[in-house]
Amino acid sequence: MSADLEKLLRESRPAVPTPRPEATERAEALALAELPRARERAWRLRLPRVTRRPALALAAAAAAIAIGIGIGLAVGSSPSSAGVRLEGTLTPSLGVSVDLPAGWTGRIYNAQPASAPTSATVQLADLALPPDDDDTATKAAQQMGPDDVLIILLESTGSKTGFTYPPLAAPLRISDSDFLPAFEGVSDSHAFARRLFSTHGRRFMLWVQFGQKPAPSSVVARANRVLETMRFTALGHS
Amino acid sequence: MLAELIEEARTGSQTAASKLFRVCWPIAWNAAFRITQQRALAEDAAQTAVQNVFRSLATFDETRPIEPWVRRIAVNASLNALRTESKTSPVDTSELDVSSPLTVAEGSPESGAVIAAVAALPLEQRLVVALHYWLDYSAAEIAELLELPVGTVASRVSRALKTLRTELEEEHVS
Repeated sequence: MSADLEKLLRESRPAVPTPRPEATERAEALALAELPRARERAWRLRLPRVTRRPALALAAAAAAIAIGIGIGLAVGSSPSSAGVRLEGTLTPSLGVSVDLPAGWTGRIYNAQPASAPTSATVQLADLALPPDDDDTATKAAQQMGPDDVLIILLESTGSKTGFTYPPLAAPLRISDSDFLPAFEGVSDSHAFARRLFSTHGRRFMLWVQFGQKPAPSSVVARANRVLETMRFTALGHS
Repeated sequence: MLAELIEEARTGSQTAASKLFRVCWPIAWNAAFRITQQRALAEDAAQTAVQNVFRSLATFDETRPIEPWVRRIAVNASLNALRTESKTSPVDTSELDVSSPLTVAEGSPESGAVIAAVAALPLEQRLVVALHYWLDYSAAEIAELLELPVGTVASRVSRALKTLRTELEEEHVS
């Protein structure tokens, strides 16, 4: 009897009506309104070293700055500010280098304190990077002209990032599919491309911001010429 | 595919977020309606559920299936909606949609009577019946959802079955 009743109950699932279109629309609006918060939270959880604090990160940084054609970015002593300067050759501990054309400025530093896993952070731009900027180069982004490019490379060191980092199989570049329609913190008038990749056992997130939207192909090509010179080594190896 | 959608939604892609919504909404709606059996309450609960789903996207492990996660959030939202409603007004079974053609049962000819009998149960018994027989949660899972001992869940199911058996026998259904 009990088994029969239970069987009857299972067979009596109420049919579910179709939700009203206006209810569905409202639900979608409510859900999408949560996107900025979800995005912010994702960054906070998965990339805790990416902060908007000013040059504190750089104080602990092994910074490297290079200007000029074919000069590898270098790591030296901690800069007293985030000013752009050349300080020697690549420090193996950060394992990233790039050649900058004339007119570009850049810096490489460790965004983590010395006691934490190294998180190489690279900022490159064809404008003068302002001193005392934060890890995402907010000030530089605000100073971009229409033809300017700002490149940010962030190393992810979390054990569970929630993101997929495909292996980097060729020189680093961005393509049309890497452009996102919008991104938190990026001006609506700026084009923005993002790419995740892994190489030498390390995981990186690349952000490339352009001073106009859509980005002209000539400016994208200019960014790619710089990106293609980016070289990586495993941490602890030069 | 779904993992990519989630990842893109996390980065702010409206297109990916809309596609993800179309995956989550039916799951939330079905769970909410099966528990509340009231269109207005189900809409509120399902809307709250998808809102919570998107708010929690950052913490979701996309290597796991999304349906149980969304359904659980929807169940919780539905329970909260029912609890809130029961505090503000006594549960009035006449408001349940059991007589609506929209809630015609999926199964046997007796199903309409069964749904009506379930709808007449006290709220605490109706919930465990809906969760166990219509949403396939185990007693242990229901205990966790309702923050009750498993034994309490089992006794509520037992009492519900006893009541239903009496009601349905009187109607010559069971």
